[in-house]
Amino acid sequence: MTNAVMILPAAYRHAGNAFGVAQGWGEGNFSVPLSASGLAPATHWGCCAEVSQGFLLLMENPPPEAAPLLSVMVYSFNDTVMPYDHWTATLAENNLQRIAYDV
Amino acid sequence: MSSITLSLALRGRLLSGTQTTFQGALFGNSEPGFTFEPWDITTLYQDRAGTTPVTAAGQSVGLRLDKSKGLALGAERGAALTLPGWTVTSGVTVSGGVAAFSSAAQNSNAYNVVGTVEVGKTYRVSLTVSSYVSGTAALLLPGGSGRGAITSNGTFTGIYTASSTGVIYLWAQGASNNTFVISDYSVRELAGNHEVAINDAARGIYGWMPKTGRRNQLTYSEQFDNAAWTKPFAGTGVVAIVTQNYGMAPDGTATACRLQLNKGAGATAGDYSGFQQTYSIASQSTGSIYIKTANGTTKSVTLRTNTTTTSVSVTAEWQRVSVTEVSSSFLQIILRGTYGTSDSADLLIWHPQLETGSTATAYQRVVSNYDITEAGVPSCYYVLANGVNTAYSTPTITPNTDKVQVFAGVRKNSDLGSSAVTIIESSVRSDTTDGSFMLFARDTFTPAMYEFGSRGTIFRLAGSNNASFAAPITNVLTGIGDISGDTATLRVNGTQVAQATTDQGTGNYLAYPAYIYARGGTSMPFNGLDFGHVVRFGPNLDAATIARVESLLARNTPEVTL
Repeated sequence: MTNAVMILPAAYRHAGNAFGVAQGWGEGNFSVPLSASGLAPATHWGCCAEVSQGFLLLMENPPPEAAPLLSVMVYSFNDTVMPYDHWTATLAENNLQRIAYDV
Repeated sequence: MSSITLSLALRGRLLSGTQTTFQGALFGNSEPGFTFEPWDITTLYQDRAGTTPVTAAGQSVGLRLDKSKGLALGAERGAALTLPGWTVTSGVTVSGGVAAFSSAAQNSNAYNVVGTVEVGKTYRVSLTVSSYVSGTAALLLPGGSGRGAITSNGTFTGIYTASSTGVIYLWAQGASNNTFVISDYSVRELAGNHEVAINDAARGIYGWMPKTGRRNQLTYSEQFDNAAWTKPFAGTGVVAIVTQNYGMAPDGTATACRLQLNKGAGATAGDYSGFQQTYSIASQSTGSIYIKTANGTTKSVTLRTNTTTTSVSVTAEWQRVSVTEVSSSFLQIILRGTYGTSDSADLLIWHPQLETGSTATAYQRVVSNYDITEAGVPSCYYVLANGVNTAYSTPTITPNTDKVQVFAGVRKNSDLGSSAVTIIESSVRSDTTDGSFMLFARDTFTPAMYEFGSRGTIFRLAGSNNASFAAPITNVLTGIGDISGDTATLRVNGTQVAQATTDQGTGNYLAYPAYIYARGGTSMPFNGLDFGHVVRFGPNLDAATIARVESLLARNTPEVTL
């Protein structure tokens, strides 16, 4: 398995989640709010998941309806480091932070 | 002990200390609650619909079956295909014990009011399709969940929770011309409050590690041709050549790897040929490897983990060589112009290890970060929560009591990140929602290394900020809530570390889903490993029972002995 970090601009979040539903991945896969400052509002939404070889093939040969999403998506694949480390490194590379919670 | 069926991947490995479930001790009176027992791989499925079992480390886990009710199957809910009273749409007939779809349009279906399911309950579903010609068959529960996308003959199964009460449908999903026969089907309640990932991205990762914990920080420790192993070379040196499973290893198996290094005749620091894997340990650490020459000669090579160079005379006999430094950046075997090494070496290598401390300990096999074993040591099984978006939830649980006990064997990978970290919480937010509880791994707001909270109508928190609980650490945690007794108690490794005794208000714990690893399934994510957990709503347990449950979890949690 390969770890995937995927980030979409906020304007594409719903389209990304709808694509996930259409693929049978369930609702709300892009669930993590992000911004450069770590403060609301979210400018991007992300997810981190283990993906199969089939998913990687899908990304290499995406269906036409996914093309607009992929053109604006930041994605990174890694199969050596732990998922959290992969996630934090990818956020740092893209100058994004997880938005803190109201506790 | 109960028995389990091992997948091929698991056969031959030692199981951890027990497969004993908590059912009898804690749930003998049908107490509400749930358990997660990762040592029983038969309870784990890769997909959220329970169609593909987990069989190997590194696989995602979409569904985790609760064993608190013994995985008991209820009575058949589906109406027999021989019964009268079937309602069918055009192109569908039910007679003679089969449902036949003949060139049926999309959404054609058959149902019988005798066959119904109830909202919130989970069902094991199977569907047998025969005489398949075209289209797509499905068995759907009210609300749309169910086993679908069937495009061949065979028997297909799944596990689904009904989102509303109503009839069971035999369904045609294909766009047109659905032609097949459903010759059998079954819908039976699968007792328990099963944990389902919030979505596919939220699935955790299954793995195992030795009971003694992970020491070998290298990965692919027996797969030297993996990209994790690199081959630096420069100057007159050439790239190393690696041949897997080339020669006889010390244990008599043909698993030793051939490593051919050649730095050439160069005599400068820029002339080298090496083989290494990078991993940084900030404290004193030791790298080790079994080594001999492949052709019976004696060669001089250098072993490094950082700046110190250790010269090793490699002979025709196996030896385990090691180097200890104040910190490490890699494990490296190298020939270099300025190190006094041989110009070339034809070696066999086996069982590399890089670990904290000054001693090379027993070798641990690291296939991947999720598959770590040690000969003679039981394995502990877990699901990794990635600290980003891993999250599960149960159906709504109705406690009908004001007492709860929560147990979990966990490893915190990190205390950094969000301001609080969820292990298990009932309701979407227990500190502000009446009749709920939470077990948290970290809270920088309170602050606490671990905390347990309970709320009738007033929230009370028992937390410990003991620095000895700082991550990375593995612990067995116990939270005990008693609303009318006005106690919220936190135990770590069998010892009470905090207790709140002020008023929690009134009422019972109320009917909510439980959320695991993230508040409400979306925030305050847990970064760590879960070796098993138990949530029980019921009368207070005596000290001996609490200790027994903690001990059972400890047996399956690395580095914890109770």
